[in-house]
Amino acid sequence: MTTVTVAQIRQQAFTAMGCEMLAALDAPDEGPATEAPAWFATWEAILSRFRSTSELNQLNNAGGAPFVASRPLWLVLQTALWAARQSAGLVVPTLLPALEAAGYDRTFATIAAAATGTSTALVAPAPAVAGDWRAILCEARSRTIRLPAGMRLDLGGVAKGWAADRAAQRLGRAGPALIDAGGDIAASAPPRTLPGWPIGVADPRDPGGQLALLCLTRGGVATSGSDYRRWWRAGRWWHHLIDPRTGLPAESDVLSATVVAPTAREAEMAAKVVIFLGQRDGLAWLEARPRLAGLLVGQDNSVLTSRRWVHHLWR
Amino acid sequence: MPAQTTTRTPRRKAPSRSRHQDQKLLLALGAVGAILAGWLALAGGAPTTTAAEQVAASTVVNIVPVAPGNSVPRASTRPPAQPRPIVRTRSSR
Repeated sequence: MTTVTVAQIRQQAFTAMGCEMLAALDAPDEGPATEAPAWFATWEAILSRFRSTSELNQLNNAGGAPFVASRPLWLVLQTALWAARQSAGLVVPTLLPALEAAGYDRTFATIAAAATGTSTALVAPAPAVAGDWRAILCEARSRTIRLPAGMRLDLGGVAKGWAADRAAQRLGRAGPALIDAGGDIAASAPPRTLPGWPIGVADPRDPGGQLALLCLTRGGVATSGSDYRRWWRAGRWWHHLIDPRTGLPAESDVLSATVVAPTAREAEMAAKVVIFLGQRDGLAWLEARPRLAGLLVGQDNSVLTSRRWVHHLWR
Repeated sequence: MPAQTTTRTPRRKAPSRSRHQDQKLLLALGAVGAILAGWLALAGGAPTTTAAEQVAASTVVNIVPVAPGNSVPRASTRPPAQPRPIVRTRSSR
């Protein structure tokens, strides 16, 4: 964990949820920024599927019985169900069996260490069917959740987007704040001496390259792509973006999609939708939503942007 | 017998029909051009703004005197300096 001060902006880098994180705060007092790692540690203990004692695993093992959830688990599940509705069932929390079948059955650091270019399995796994997210029952007053028997949830991406928004909101009470939660970026307000937070859009084809510089005043940015978190198995590359229509890693003509949205959780959901829909339909989906703007890098090296993308560029 | 030599006199072709047509087309184009030029001259000559208005409407630029032999300084096209990004996007999970 390191704290770096640039002008008045305090930056705290740390690791949580299996990712590198950053909390930045434009305030003379660095105190609040140093609290961010503890917030993420608490959320990770509740929401991680890789911790046997996590509340999420308790819910997954409830065997169809009613489960009274903590506030964070409740809120993240509600976010996940919202994403499922917004994406017409493309971004759903019920893909854990499919993720495990594809080989993402342990932390990514462990997978990466095990897969050293040779196949970790000789036979491609059979696709697992996604559970029906509409069958999850929720009772708000008592925060009671009932999963259909056998259904198990993964809240990975949604949890990070939610955590980025939540942390930016909390940190924002002390001054303009930005949180980068493993690629899900949220800002509470622009820094006092700049028009916004400068955010480089990395080129997935060129490590170190930059496609654009965004000026994020507030809201969220997220990128989704098959270029990251992938592993070699049964003679091919697998990645973590499971298409619920097939139960297999998405085969898309979009290599990477970056979306700007009013919140990090919305940006995260939208970026995944664009990957699943592909270049043409993904771009049309973005254009139909005035809250969103995006940049797509195609497998064919094309770079496409939605009409509103230009409004978010640094000028 | 002395070898006979034959000299072919190239036949003079009668002016073809297409050549006449080309000439007519050129004349027609010339007439249209003359009309256009006249119309443009009239339109351009009509005063629409005063000189002062034109100066006021134009972009104000710094005029740098150039000594003989010096190169003309080019207008700066470099975009304003961009800050270093505080973070860079990466695929999230």
